[in-house]
Amino acid sequence: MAMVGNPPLIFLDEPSTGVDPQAKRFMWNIVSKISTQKKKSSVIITTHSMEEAEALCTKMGIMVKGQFKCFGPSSHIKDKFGTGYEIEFKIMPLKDEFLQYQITLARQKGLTEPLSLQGIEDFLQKGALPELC
Amino acid sequence: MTADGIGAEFVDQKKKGLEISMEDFITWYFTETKGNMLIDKISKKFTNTDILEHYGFSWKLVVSRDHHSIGYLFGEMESLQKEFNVAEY
Repeated sequence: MAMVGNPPLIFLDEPSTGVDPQAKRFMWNIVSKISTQKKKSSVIITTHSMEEAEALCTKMGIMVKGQFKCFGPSSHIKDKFGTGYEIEFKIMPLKDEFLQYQITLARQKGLTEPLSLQGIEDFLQKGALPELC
Repeated sequence: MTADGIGAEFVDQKKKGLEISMEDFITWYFTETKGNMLIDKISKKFTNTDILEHYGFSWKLVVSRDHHSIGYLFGEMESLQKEFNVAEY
C-alpha cells in the first residue's frame, strides 16, 4: 500500500521481520526495483538484518542508542570497521559406500544399536574410528 | 554430549524418545571431526578465530586480518579444501 502512486520517499520499518524467506525475497525484489532500477522512489529501511541492509541499501547508517555512529556505502563501513575476514565453509557429506563401510567398522568395534548417549560417549572416548579423521 | 553443546541434536532426539540411527551418528562424527580439524588448522594461521555459527554441515567463522590479503585467505582455503573434504567455501 505504501508504494501505490510512486511516492518520492518511502519509509519501511523492519519490513522483513517475521516474514518467510520466499516472501522476503519477493519483497526485496520489489524494493530493489522501485529504488535502484526504476529510480521512482527513495526508500529508507530500518532493519536489524545485516544481510537485508547489504542486499538492498546503497548507503547505510548504524545507530546505537538513538545516535548515528557511521554512515556510508557498505564497502566503506566494512573497510573502516570490519575487524577480520568471514569464512563460511561446508563439509562434503560422506559417500554412501564409505558410510556403509564405517558403519560396519563401528559395529565391529562395539557400537551397538539402538544407540544410547552413554554408548556414543564411550565409543567417542575410545577414539574408535581413526579412519574417519 | 550436552543439551546445549556438541551433540545437542542427539540429546534432543533422545529427549523426544526418538532413536539415533547409525547413519546419522557416523555422518555427524565425520562432519564434526573434519570441521573441527579444519578450524584447528585455520586458527593456527590467524591470531584470532571465532566461530559465529555452526549447523549441519556448515560453519561460519571470523578470523583476524593480521595484515593478510583476501587472496592469502583464498589460497589457504584452496590448499585445505581437499584434505578436509570441504564442499564449498
